[in-house]
Amino acid sequence: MMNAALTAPSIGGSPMTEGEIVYGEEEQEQIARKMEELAYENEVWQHIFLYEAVMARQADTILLLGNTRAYSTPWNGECGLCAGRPDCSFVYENREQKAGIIDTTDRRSDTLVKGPLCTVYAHQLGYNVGSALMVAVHLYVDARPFISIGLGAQKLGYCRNSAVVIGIAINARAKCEPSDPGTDYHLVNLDSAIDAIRGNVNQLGIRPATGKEYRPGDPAKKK
Amino acid sequence: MPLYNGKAFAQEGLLQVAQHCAQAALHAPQLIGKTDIKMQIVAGDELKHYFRVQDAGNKLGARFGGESYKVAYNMGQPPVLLLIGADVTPIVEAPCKAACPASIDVPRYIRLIGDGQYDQAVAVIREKVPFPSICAYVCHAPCEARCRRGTLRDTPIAIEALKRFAVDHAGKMDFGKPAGEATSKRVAVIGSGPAGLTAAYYLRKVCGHGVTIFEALSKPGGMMRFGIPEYRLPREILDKEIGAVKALGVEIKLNSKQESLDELFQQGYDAVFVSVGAHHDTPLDATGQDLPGVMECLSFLRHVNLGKKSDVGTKVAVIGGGNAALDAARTALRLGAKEVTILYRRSRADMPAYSDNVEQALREGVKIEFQTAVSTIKSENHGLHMECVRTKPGPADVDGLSLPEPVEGSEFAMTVETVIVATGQSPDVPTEFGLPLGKEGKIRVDPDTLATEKEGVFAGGDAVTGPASVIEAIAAGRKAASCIDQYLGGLGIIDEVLAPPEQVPQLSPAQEALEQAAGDPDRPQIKCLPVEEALAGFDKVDHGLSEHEALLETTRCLKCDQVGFDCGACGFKTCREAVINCQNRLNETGGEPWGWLMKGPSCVWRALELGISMDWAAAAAHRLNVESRVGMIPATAFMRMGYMEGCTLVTVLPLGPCKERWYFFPGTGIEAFRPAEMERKGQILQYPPLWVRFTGPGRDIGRRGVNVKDRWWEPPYTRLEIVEDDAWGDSVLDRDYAIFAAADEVRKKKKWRRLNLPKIKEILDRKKSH
Repeated sequence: MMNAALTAPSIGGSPMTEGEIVYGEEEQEQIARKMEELAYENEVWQHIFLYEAVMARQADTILLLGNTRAYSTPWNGECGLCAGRPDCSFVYENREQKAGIIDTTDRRSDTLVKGPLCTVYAHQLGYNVGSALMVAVHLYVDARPFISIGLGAQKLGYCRNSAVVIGIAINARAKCEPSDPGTDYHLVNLDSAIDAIRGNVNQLGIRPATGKEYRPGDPAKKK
Repeated sequence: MPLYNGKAFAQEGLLQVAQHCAQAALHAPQLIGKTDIKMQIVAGDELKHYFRVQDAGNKLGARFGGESYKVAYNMGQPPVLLLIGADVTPIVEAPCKAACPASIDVPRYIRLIGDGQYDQAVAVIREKVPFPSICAYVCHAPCEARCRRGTLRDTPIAIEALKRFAVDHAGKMDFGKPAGEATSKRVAVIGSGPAGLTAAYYLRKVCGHGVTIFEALSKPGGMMRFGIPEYRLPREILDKEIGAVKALGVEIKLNSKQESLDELFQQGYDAVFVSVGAHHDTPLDATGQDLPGVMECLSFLRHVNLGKKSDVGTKVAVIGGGNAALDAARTALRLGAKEVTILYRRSRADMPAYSDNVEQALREGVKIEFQTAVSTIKSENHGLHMECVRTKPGPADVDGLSLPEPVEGSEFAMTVETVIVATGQSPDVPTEFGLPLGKEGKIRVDPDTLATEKEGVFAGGDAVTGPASVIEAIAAGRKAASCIDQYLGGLGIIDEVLAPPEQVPQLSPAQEALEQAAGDPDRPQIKCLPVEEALAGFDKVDHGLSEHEALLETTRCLKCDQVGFDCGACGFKTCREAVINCQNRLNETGGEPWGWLMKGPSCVWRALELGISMDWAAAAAHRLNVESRVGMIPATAFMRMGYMEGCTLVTVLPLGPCKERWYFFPGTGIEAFRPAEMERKGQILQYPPLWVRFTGPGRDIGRRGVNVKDRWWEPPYTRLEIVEDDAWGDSVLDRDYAIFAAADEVRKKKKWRRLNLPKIKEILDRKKSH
């Protein structure tokens, strides 16, 4: 998937994609906790971040993809897709810069993403993400892109040269949770449901196999 | 027949590949699920349109690529282009706006009401309908039916009540300035109902044509005056809004029934719009229709609304289940009837009347007998004897409604003094007009242009659709105005920008009201006149919302027009700010991407989501071993030509008819750059050349900068030159206008919506350094 992402069609033919593969309980737990921390910063995205943090934990692997140019070197294609004139001036005017070279050392931000970003390069990241997902489909592996996982990972220092990062949760389980999350998934999810049943079973002393014997009896005796 | 002759098979196959790629794009995974992907295929001679725009732009230094398309086209093997795009602005189309026949920007005016900007809210409504007050009082609010808060199992926002609140509390605003330049064209409008008045308003005010309305009755307004009772639409509001149309210079000739369209053309009118409405009552399918005491609904309402006396007695029956039936029943109560019963042959769920109207009628004491049909009416002593029967649903008719069947043994009788028949209305188009009519006497028109088969004659409103709502008639009037203007040689652009640029308040009055409120607000109950007072006259029944209620109600809006992530990636702190900025820019430019390749601002996540789809389409082509290369710049030319309407970011996926690696590489269409030629010269490109542009207004480089004067693939690949910023800007603006002008020629040929070139030129010239 990473190879496909890095060889996806590229705007202008310039290299601008970076990616990292994150796996392991501890690493994924860190990202999930960061997402949960971010969740309480704004009510707007709180719910989404909380249930998607569970998915970051439950994923078998996380693929991170970022664009290294969206923040520092906009496309310069006179496109006008951002909010300024068709010369990238909106990006430059909102940055510390000298002679068109943006000072990337100022990483302070009072928003979740330090904008404005170059829209075309964000669009480009879509090509990379799309290529990775296409391979997942070919390999019959469940995968779903997440803004929240990418942001959480980015805050922890993954894909540190990128202004915009997408996290792809890859699952090889029989049931793909991310594709069909339930309501309040951060509270009621597959793991917590199983744990709750186990807890009840232990507390109440109920044996897992309850009720009548499922076999109708010995046919020979019945005769 | 050969399987492949070098041309035919390749084209046929490529079209199928393009469809395969389109399917792949549609099935791509979503990121935020708020990007509607649109696609269009361009093939064969349609490419010539692109070459025209490409030439016009490139002569002046634009960088429209795709020379290889032209080379391939000239070789007889044109590529098939798959355009993939979406609207990636921060403004998401809300379901309420999509449901409105006139496309009123509902979330925007709700937001403005919440900000305490009632005048601006009305201006937003008026941008799409010339009669905001009438609309606020009588619209059946299809927007509320689609409100997402309602579909999420809560109660929908009281949009109609908010609109009514805005028009009741807005100050006096002057919107009535006619177009700057009057044309010499004259348009005759037959009928002064909502469709006719709307068409007249736009044709006069925006397009600058002379307009005369011919009205057969003694007062203007059509069904709004003679069909809708005063307690639903106060006449001072109707008169005020019709007065505003007259003030523009629209002449309204009353008591002028037209018998011939040819006469109008002989009088010098260049076009005629027939909007005669549906004023003919459908006869009752029962005996006794002609007895004294049996009235036709529209005649009855017209009689009362003209202020004439009408004695209905104390016991009245109304046959029918539409709004006219409800209006007749409620009017009868106001005329002194003590007992009014509506007989409707289907169930309440099938009733075409608006639920609001039904609720009000029940509240006022109207009885409704559902699933009841009338078979006979007889005159008896001092009353009318009606034989009725209960019905049950039968097989469905062509419209999907079940045809009621009588239930045996359920017959019963009623005696009343007056029977009002409201079983439907149909248009009454004079045969002298010579217009082809369809089912139920409706005028047949071209649905795209509203043109009839008669040259220069257009038709719309109830006369074409049958009885419909006021807002649908207004929408038809808008469409007719646009089409008639195009017919008369205009651009057909009738959109107005009336609301001033929006500001982002620190703390809106609605937020203040919410902070003071005890909890989450519920949908407010509209206060109405007590029933006794309501029935004592024709005063308006509901009082509308108080200011506090209205402000709180705006906070229930889910703001479906925003992506709602508030991430800051676009450069604005909140999606609300981004939406406001985007709306202000669209208003400034009339929605045209003037001077830009595409429109901004954009939501980066929507742009990214579109990228995923684009990649899946490209991957699909790759999997089929078909040569393709994602391109962005050529797509912008197609956008200007009118392809991919509504998209702000479009990419093009050209699918090549032959498997050659060089096919879509930039510049390789040029003879000297052909691989064989380059190989011969030893000039094979090892690395992509560097494309540098360091300049542009807004950079911190003073007034001078470094610019690349030539396209980077033309040797020498990077030629840096010191240029003046301002001079660079001016040449770009001239170049952009040339592209727009060439694209507009294509639109004209294709009969697509034209570009507003004068406005584009005006804006571009304003941006020039001098």
